[in-house]
Order: sequence, then C-alpha cells, then structure tokens
Amino acid sequence: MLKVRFLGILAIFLLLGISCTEEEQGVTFVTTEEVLFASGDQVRLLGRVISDQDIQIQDHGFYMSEDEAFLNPQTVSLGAKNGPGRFIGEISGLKLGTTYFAKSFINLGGEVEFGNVIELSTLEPAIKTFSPIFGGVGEEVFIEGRNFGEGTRVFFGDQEAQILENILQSRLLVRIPSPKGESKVPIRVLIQDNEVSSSTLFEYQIGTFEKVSSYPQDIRIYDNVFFQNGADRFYVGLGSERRLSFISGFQRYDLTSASWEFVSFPGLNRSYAFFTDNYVGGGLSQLGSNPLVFDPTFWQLNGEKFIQMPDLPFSTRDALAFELGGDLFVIGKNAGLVPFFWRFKVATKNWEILANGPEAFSRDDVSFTYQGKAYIVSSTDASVWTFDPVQSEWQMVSTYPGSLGNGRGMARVIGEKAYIGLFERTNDLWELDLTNFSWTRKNPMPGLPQSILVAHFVSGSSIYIMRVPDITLAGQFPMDFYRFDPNGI
Amino acid sequence: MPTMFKRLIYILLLLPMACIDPYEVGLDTGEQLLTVEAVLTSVPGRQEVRLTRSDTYGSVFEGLIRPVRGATVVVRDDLGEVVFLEENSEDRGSYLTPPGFATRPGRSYTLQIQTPEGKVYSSFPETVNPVPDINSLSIETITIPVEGEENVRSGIQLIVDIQDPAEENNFYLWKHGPSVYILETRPDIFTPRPSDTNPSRDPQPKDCCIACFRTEQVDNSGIYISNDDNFNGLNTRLVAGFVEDDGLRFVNTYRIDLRQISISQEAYRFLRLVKQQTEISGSVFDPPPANIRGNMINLEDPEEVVLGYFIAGAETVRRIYVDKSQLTFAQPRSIIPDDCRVVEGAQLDPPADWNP
Repeated sequence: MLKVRFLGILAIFLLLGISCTEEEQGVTFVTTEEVLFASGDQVRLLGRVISDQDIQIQDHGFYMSEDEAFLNPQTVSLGAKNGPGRFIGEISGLKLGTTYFAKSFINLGGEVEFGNVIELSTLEPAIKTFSPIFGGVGEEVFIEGRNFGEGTRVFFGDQEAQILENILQSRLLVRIPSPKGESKVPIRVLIQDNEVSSSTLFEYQIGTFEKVSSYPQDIRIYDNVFFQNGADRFYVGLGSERRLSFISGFQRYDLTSASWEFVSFPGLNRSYAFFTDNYVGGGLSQLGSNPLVFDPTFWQLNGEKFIQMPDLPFSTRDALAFELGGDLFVIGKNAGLVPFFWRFKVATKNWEILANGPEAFSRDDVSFTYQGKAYIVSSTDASVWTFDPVQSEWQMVSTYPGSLGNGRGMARVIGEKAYIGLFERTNDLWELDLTNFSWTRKNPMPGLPQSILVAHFVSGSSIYIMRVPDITLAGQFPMDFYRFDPNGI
Repeated sequence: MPTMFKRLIYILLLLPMACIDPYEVGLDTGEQLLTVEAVLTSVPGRQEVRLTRSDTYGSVFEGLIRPVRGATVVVRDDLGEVVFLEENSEDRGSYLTPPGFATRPGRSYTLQIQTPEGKVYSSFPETVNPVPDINSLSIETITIPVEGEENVRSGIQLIVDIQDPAEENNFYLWKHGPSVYILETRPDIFTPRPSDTNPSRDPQPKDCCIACFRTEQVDNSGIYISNDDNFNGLNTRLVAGFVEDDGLRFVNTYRIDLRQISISQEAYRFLRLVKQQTEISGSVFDPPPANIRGNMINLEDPEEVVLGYFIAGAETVRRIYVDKSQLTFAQPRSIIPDDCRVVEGAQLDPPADWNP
C-alpha cells in the first residue's frame, strides 16, 4: 500500500515538473525606419525598437558613416529607453551633397544590436529668388532657396551681409551691406566650401551726397529765388529771413573757387517770385498776407546784369516758370485765385495767354524741360504731365512713386535722367529714366527730413542742393550746400 | 420569539440592499489629438492642409472639433525646397499653399507643422507617382434599399475606364471635384411667409426665374480607392464615386469633375483601413475596430498619436455631363417654390466652360 502511495506521489511530482515550463527569451530588435528630413548638413532619422516585452534599454540611437562598413561612424546617442517604440535622432554637421549610410542601434544589457542600414544623401544648396532686387544699405532682403545650413554666409558681391534670420534653411533674411565699387552685384551664399550665386543681380540704391559749403550768413531763407548763370555760378537770394524780414540781393556761389559773393538786385525785395535761369518776376513785395501786395515787375538776367522788362500783365505769387524754345512760360494763379498759363515770347517781348493746363499748377508742383517739352509733377496726385508747346497739348506720362510731402520739390535733368523729389518735409529722391519712364529710388538726402528746398543747380554730372529745416522748427540750423552725385556709390 | 428573530434578520438583510451608492463611471476623456487632413496634388492651385483637434469622448457639449490656429505649416520636397502655407483668414485651421502650387511626379514631399504651443510634427516622406489618364468616364444608376422605408435611395455611380501602367504598382484615390447642374424651380407658386407687412397667405408668383446653374461641391459619400493587384498593366473599369439623386440634381443636366489621384502604398493602406472601419455594419464578418496610425509624427514625442494623413500625389481630372435621360431610375422631383436664384450657389449664367 505504501509502495502504491509512493508511486502515486512520485507520479504527481513528475507531472508537476513537466508542467513547469521555462519561460522563453523574448524577441527584441531595432529597425532603421525612415529618413524624416535631410538637408545639406543635417538629417533626421526615425528608428523603432520592436519587442514582445517591457524592456529596459541602456542606450539607443543611430550610427552614421560615409562608408557602408561604418569604419569611422558618427554616433547619435539618445540614452536609456523604457520599453519598445519609435525614436528620432538628429545628426548635424554633415557634408553637403554626400552619400551616407545610417543604422539604428540599441544597447540591451551590454549587448549592442544594430538595425538595418539605409543609404541617404545630403542635399546641395541653391538660391531660387531674392526680394527686393533693389535696395539701400541697411535695408532687409529675403533670399529664397534651399539647404542653407549651419554656418551659411551671404555676400553682396564681395561684401558680407549680416544674416538676421534663417527660416527652415530655406529663407534667409539679411541686411544689405555697404556697396564696394559696383552698383549691381550678385548675391552669393557660401555654405561649407560650396558657393551658390544668384542668376540675377542685386541693384544697390545709389547716389552720394557730399557737403561742399554752407550759406555764408547765419540765417534761414524761405520763399526765395535761385538760378544759375552757366555751369559754375549759382545764385540764392531774395525771399525772407524766416518770413520776418526781406533779404536783399543774392549770394552767388562760384563753383570754381568755392567762394560766396554778394550780388545786389536792382528791383524791390520780394518773396514768392517766379524765376528761371534768365527771368525773375512777380511775387509779394510786402511780408504777411494782409493785404497781399503783388509786385508786377519783371526782370531779365543778361549775363551778370538784371534788366527790367515791362511789367507783368498779371499779379502772381508762387507761380511756376520754365523756359522752352527760348520763351518763358509761367503757370499759376492770378492774384492767387484764377488759374492762368502765360507765355512770354522773347522775339516779340509780348505775353500771350494759353489754355489752362489739366490741373491748377503752381510752385507747389515741380517742373523740368527735356527735348522741347515741359514736364510737371503734380504735388496733388503725383501725376507727371508733359506739355508740348508746339501742339499745345498736355499728356500724362507717369506717376511719381515717392512721397509728395507738402509739395515744392525739385526736378533736375542730367542726360536722359531726371532727378525728382525732396518735396517739403521728405528726403525721397527718385531717378526718372526719360527714355522709358521707369523710376529708380536714390539714396535719401542727409540732414533733417523736415527740411525744405532753398536752391538746386546742375553742373556737369552733379546736382548742388541747399535745404533748410521747415520754418516750424525752432533753433539755429546751418544751410548746408551739398553736391549730389546720382551715380555715386 | 424565534419568529421575531427571523423577521429581524430579514429586515436587517433588506436594509443594506436598499442602500445603493451611485457608481460614478470614471472614463478617461482622452486628450484632443492633432488631426491632419491634406491631399496635395499636381493640379496647380491653392491647395489646403486642414489642422484640427479631435473631440473628446462624451456628450456633444464636452468638446468641439477646434481648428488649430496660428501654426507654421510648410511643405518640403526631397531637394530641400520649402513652401510656406498661409492660414486662411476666412476659415481658421485651413492652411493654403501659394497659388500655383503643384506636386511633381518623382519628387517626395513632407509636411512640417509647428503648433502655437511649440510642438513640431513631421510627416513621413510621401513620394508622388505618376497617374494615368482616365480614358473615359461613364455612369450607372443604382438604387439602395433603406431599411424600414418604402422609398429607396438612388443615384449615379461614376465608372472610370483606365489603362493601368504595367511597370509599377499603382494605387488610386478618386475624389469629387466641383459639380454644376441646371436647377429648376417653381417661382410661379411662390408663397411668401406671412409677415406684418405682407400678411397674405395667397401665392404671389414671381416672374423669374425657373432655371439656374447651381454649383456645388458634393461630398464623397465613401472612400473610393483601388490598387492594381488585380489589373496591373490592363485596361479596367472601376467604380470611382457616387452622387446621390436628391430630386434636384438630375432633373435636367448634371456635370461633375472626377479627380483621379495616384497615392502611395502607405496612403492606400491607411485609407483602406479607414474605409473598413467606416463601413463596419455590425456583422460577425466585420473587421475588429482598430487604431489606425497616420503618417504624422511628433518629433519630440514619437509615441504621440496624431490622426489623419498627409497625402501627396499626382492628379488627373475627367469631366462628365449627365442628362436626365441617362438615368434608369430617378427620385421624385423636389419642388422649390421660389426664384431659382435664391438657392445657394445658383446663378443665371452658365459657367464659361459649360459645354454639355
């Protein structure tokens, strides 16, 4: 009986031993799943730990190498990881346009296992576009392209630009550096040893201002007259000193000797007269506006002499005058009210009234002449009109793109270009190409932007400009005289 | 005495049974997941990427599907070229590519999103495969019995005839483009709603207008996808869409553009799973409910669930005009007792390219 019991107990123990199976070792492996991102110098890889159990990984990450044997790999270690799942690693500092091999790894209990190897290539940089294609020093330019990685440098020609922002390696915001000798330069982007260049050129906003002198008296002139006799004698005078007292005569600047000299004027002192290089007339012979005292006298400048002509058949202040074909044209308002357009025929010395223009032009607007036509830039709506004296026709040809300020700007012609701007309380200056009516912005004039023009002259390829702060600005300000070189860099 | 004791025991037993504590069901509401909907194709235009946050489980008032505003969304190709998308100010959560954006076959694209919270998401690269043209587009009228109702639903199935390229494995997605139809109404029986200024309940016929051209975007009433496992390199006819007859569309002439989009194998797999899940009918043969992973990933937390899929493909479009005489079954005509121009999307002039 005991034997039977013993055999029975033994059988139970044997059965128990058979049922106690040893737990199998789990399956754990790692895969290199995807290249999520690749640029010129950076890649982002996706790996995955697959396991049928909750494992503790000591380290995981990626190996990256230029050779498939991973002889000299670059390692991205992401540290310990609890359990299976995806992981992402980012590797920087790679070479542009280079083939690499990558594989994921895990360190499980001191044993390193690798995932599959994937091949990938880093990308090449390129410039697509940039904007604006024209600008001034210190302004900002966006460069659109691709793969502008770490250490990207940007050059305008040979001048390095400051990179303000690199957005997703595809959009660079840079500050325009100072130009060096050339107004049109390629934009070059340097990444590692790789250089990419824009196919179109960036154009600098140019034009330099150089102070050549100051007005010889410590005063501020308003509502004055200016004209030039030849290419080197500039006259500035009449008008008033801050509308408090009239100014007698003129100060003449001799460009050759760079000196000022007083020149007397035989007529009455006046403000708001109209003038060209050969004529002065009209205006107010009394300060203030109550009452307005119009001066009817009209003077011709013959060489260095002022010759009085017959009095004007109209009363005017702030009229606009220009010469075409030897004749004088005066456009404005009679007694400040009724628009008029007069022509003074030099041959007969007679005044002839013309049909009014498309707008009531005055000295608030600016004029210049070119190839037998007068051009007037309206300070009301920025339209540019031409007047053909032969056909007596007006035609709108363009629109001034700059700021009109309070009107009373400048327009001067050199060759086929007109330089227009510097309206009151602005320092905008634009170049108008008279062959195709395209506009190019020039560098702004230095000094207070709240300035107004005193005088401007042309000599050779330069324009000489004098401005004074607006009368509302209190204080003493020198009236500096600048030489503007439109092509200066 | 023993009887009393027994009664006392029964009463005592009843007392705890009567005290029922209400059981609070503590369900996890879950976080609102980022949802991405984007199908970018090779047809140039302003294409859309829509970002929303999913609703939480619970009553309808518990959460709302909210648009994700103020995100930075870019599409980047495998050359590194980046396109910035602009948020649609009139439709928040909708981000539009620049005008003229089009994918290019052979290139692969990734979608990158940075949410206002600073989380960065990226899609897996989606390669654009070429798409064959639709040789022809035809229709078949179908009827769909409705359980418990006498009247059946009906409409037209759009059937494409395509020549599948033999050299590659192709995956197709079909979507409806815009549609236009001649809308016929009855202004002659117009009866305005009585008001203080016009209390009459009599018909006040209008002189105009009985026929307009109505433009609408018909929702896809299902997911129409296919792979070429069964017809690789062969000419085949496939069901590519369904337009329901609502009693208005097929009264005269109906026009619809059908978009055929080549998609990646992964996108096909995703859409097939979504299709399976949405078509579960409760039968024992249905696939079990599953958690479908898209192709978007949080770069900081790869395990975060992101819903939706970024699809990049090539597209071809085919247009079909359907005359009412082509339908073998039509729904009873719906009557709109008003000027046809009051119907949304309706106008008197036909589209410039209306050429039935």
